[in-house]
Amino acid sequence: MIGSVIDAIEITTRIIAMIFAVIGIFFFIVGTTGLLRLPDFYCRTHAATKCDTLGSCSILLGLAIYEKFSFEALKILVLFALVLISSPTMGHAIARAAFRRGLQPWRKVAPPPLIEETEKEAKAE
Amino acid sequence: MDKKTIILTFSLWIFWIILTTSFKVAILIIGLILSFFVAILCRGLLAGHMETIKISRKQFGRFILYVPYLITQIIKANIDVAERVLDPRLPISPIIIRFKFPLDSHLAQLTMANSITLTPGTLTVDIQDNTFFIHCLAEEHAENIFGWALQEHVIRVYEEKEK
Amino acid sequence: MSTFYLYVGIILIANAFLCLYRAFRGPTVPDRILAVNIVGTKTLVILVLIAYIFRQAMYLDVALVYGLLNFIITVAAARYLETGKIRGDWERD
Repeated sequence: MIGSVIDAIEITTRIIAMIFAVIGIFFFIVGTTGLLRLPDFYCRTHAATKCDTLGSCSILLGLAIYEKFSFEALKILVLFALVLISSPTMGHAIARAAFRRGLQPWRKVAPPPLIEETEKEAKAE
Repeated sequence: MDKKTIILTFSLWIFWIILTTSFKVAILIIGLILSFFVAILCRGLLAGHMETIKISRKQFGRFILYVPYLITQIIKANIDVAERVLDPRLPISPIIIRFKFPLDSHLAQLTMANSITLTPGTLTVDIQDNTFFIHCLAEEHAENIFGWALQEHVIRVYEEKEK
Repeated sequence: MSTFYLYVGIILIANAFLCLYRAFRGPTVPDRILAVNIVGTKTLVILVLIAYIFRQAMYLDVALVYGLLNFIITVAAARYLETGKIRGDWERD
């Protein structure tokens, strides 16, 4: 009786971990596709930060559930928090550096002088 | 030996325990001594920022209540980006907009910036004083950015500090 | 289960190499930094998977330090790009 309950828990956690890992792989592939396909740096940052955060968090969470909240699972959760906090921060740091160096964003139509305009307005205020 | 050093020592000690995963008395004492020395050496570096990240208990509770909303937003954002990236026509029309955020506290601004980055189609590019420069992946994201549910959520989390 | 995670790791390594193409191709410096940062995040996940597959809890510490270093390297590179210097305050020249 107890053995069958333990088996059921084992199988459930295994299936949950597999689902999380498949979701993670899907978003990693989307992130890579975005990184290769999108036309300019800012758009690539969108794909890279969002999809990589969710992809790695999903795989790590699945693994932590599969480890059934032992000490290893605690370490994996620390890694999870690290990725969740640091990944948007890194994207923001690079984007800010590019913006302050004056990298123009790609526009679908003919590019109006967007950055100079907004900077002038910001200084005027 | 002020309060900051003690807080720093104990947070470093908890990190040590998580890293070593061992409860032998000798290792715990070594960890405590090492984290005390690190706390004294790095106090100027780490404790100088402690005032800017001070958070009351109520705010922390409301922050925990804010997390589920953020998670749904993250999932929505990822599905949105996935749709746009995998679409062969590549339906994007990027634009940079500015918007003013009313709170001054650094922690509120940090939460807002990271939340913007994780929600659909928007990315914080720069913060100058209270003005956020946001890169939007498509123009419809820029249109529904004003009068935004997210901003009200963040203000509700941190509003007490402003009174 | 460890065979499944082995395949996950292989797919992630293939992804990481595709990201390296962006680091090789450019065209701007922020693109390269971003690509290397993404490769670092993938490496963190791969290290956790290695820790599971080979049952070596030590690799979790390696992954933790790798994540912190990746964060610091990216922020330092972005800062160098922005201000043109490593030390001193956060103003350009």
